[in-house]
Amino acid sequence: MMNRFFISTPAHQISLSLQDPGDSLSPVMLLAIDMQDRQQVDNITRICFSGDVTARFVICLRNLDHDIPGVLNEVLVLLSHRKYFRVFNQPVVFLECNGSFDSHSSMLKEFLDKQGFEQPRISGVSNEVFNSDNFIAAHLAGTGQKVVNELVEFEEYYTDYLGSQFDSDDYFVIQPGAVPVDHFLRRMKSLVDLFRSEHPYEADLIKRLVHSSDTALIQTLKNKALESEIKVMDELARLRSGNKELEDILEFYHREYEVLPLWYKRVGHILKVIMGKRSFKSLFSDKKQR
Amino acid sequence: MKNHNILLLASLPDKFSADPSLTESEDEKILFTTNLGKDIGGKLLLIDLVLKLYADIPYLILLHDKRSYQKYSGGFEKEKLFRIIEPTNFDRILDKFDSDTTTGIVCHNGSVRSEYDSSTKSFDTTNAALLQSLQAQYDIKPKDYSFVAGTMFWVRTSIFADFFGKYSPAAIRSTLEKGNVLDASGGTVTHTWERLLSWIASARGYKIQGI
Repeated sequence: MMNRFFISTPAHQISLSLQDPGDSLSPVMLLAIDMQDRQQVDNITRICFSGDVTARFVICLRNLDHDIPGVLNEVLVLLSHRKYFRVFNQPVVFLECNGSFDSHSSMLKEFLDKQGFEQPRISGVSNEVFNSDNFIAAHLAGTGQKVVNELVEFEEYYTDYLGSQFDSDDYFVIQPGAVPVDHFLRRMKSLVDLFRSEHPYEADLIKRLVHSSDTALIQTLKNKALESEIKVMDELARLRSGNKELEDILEFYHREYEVLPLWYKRVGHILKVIMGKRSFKSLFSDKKQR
Repeated sequence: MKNHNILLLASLPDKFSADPSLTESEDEKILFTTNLGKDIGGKLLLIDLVLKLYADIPYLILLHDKRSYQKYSGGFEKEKLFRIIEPTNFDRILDKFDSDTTTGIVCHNGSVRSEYDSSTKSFDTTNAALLQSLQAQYDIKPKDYSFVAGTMFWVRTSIFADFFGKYSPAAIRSTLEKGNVLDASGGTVTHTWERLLSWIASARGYKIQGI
């Protein structure tokens, strides 16, 4: 129930936030990257690949601009990080909405497609989330987005959500602002615990739903990997059956050696004895040399 | 590679992604990505990471799981190519770099190949046309067209840093074919880069040396 929170992380706290806060609380860290600032891209890359990053993370691209050629190439290694958050093995990427979401989204989709990601999840996030010092929660369901500005208001909303609107495809983007991240996570934990005690059947249903969905995902990925392996093996077997390498070697042997006169081959065997490659006795044996 | 100033870049297929022995540590970084350009696509992404984080480490070893089941000689080829990661050969390899500053790549002797026919000034490969166009596009003009077949070799990091500082590895990766492409019946960008990766060194005046 707690796994679908993306916590927007201030740049100066990234290295701290990338540590998984605990067993039951594992929000995904949302790292906003200013694509106009190459130094920031480099710094975030360095932080994500240095030390022991234990929390999952996603990136949110801010100030993406068509005028900067190849800027997206710089984030490819981040998208390939072991801890990068994926849904059905496809990376989830957030784009800050600043009025040009559609064109930037197409640009990002084209980039991801060229890098072999077939169905990446691209979501727009209001720039209000990143530009506020206050608590803001955005509920992203499909293309809809509901923004809640107060922690208490959000808690009420989330309790209602768990009881009547839960959907395993939904997620929330949180900008804690003045509310410390650990305080927010503790509040959410006690809220979920309360929901579990007051609505045990609903809570159990959600738990089973999330578990089944996770298991199905793992099985799908394993199946996909096996299918891909079978495809490769089939292709190699097909090529192998049409391969004339052995015939070529035999032809080479006949062309280069078998056609030589017998006396020449015999001299060759004597040379082998002189060079110590075979025994003198073997010259008079009918046994095949191996 | 502990105790050595070397980075091993290994590109593996997705069946390894569930391997529990693949764990990240200070010395080992793992990237998960799509199958674009087979091992070449994986290597380009790893080169990208190296240049962002470890550009000062002097040598790289490029490696992948070689599975040439389609050929009788596949097993022998794999055995030969893998000799470059036998620690008993490390001193010999490092000596090749140390004793001759023009040594850019070190690989197994038997894996150096050339498809260039000087009489016709053309390449005897299905990738000939692509080789010419990509050479022009990326300004790769070697004097010697030898390359390391199988793309498993040691290389000076500075050579790749120089080239990939100008041409983004990720951008090149995006031009490779998806899936497990083969070049038996027609040229591919992927197999063309198998050759160009060696020529990046040759074009800068470096030699390929065998062990």
